[in-house]
Amino acid sequence: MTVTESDILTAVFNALAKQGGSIGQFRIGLDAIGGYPTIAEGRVYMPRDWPVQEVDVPILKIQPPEEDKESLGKNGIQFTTKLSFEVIGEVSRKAEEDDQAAGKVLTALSLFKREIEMAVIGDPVLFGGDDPGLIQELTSVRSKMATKSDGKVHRGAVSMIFEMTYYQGTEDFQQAVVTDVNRFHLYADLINVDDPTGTYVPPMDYTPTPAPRTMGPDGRVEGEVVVDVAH
Amino acid sequence: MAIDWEAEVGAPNVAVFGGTARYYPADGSPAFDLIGVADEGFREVVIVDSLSYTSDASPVIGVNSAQFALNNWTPQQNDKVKITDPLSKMFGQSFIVKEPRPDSHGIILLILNEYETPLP
Repeated sequence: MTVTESDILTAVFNALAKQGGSIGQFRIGLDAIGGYPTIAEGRVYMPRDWPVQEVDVPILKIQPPEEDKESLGKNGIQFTTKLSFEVIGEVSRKAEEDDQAAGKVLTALSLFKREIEMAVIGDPVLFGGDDPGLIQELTSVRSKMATKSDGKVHRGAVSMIFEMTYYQGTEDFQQAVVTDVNRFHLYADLINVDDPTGTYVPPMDYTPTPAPRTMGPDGRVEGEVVVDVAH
Repeated sequence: MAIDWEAEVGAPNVAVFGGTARYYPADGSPAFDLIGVADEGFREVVIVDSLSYTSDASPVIGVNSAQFALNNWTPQQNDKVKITDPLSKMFGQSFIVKEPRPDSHGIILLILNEYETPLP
């Protein structure tokens, strides 16, 4: 299976865009929505190069990815491909006495971070459930949080850099040109000759043994099987 | 010749450009009214290095120190202020003092954050 960056990013986006009650609201809706929701409730951007305003939060931003292909050796095109991308979640809170709101922002960010982890790492499309996922290995997740009170309210952000590893080989770059196969038609024209003298036109392009003959094929099929494989 | 900057420059400026505000000392002393120059212009806030910044405002109010001396109060963190000048775009908003910044010439610039509970 060829894995592309856009497949992975789309899967990350879908994983983070789930809505329907989150840990932040002390509800988890995995069964209902097929994934883990976050307090961003669908406000997910990939990427986001417009400024975030207070009305936009809580918000999730998936930043453009970075990729690093590392060769597995000198005997052919084979790579361990490392893909990393940053997910940023932002929240805000109005100020309180003794800077207590900064601590509350941090608490909210911790919950947000946990939700992002569950949504991405727990996502079956990315990392597998019943079927194998797109990604062979999640090599690291680096997270950091920050709060700022430079503006009108406290603004906080959690940044998480996910690094994923998967294999890419020749088949990912030199892809065979293929035609869809919808049906096999198998013919059997046996070598143990049935008719030593007759002349027949075979159902496809091959040359029967000319008559008179002591061995086949005689050009007349002894049996056939049709296998329908259309989806 | 020595100049009393607050009397000559600060106080007249505040009187001309300022508007009314109600001030709530942090220790619970009675609130008092004052005149201050309130602003909340746009400010870009970068929380973490990111493709996009965060657009916010930076609310401040400048007050000459004599108005605080009159009420036996030195501005400090956790004081609260409500803008009561109906002509101000910040009218009715409640703030908490994040940082008082005296200029040593009689004007104190109070850096504000929006307060979570509306003040009376």
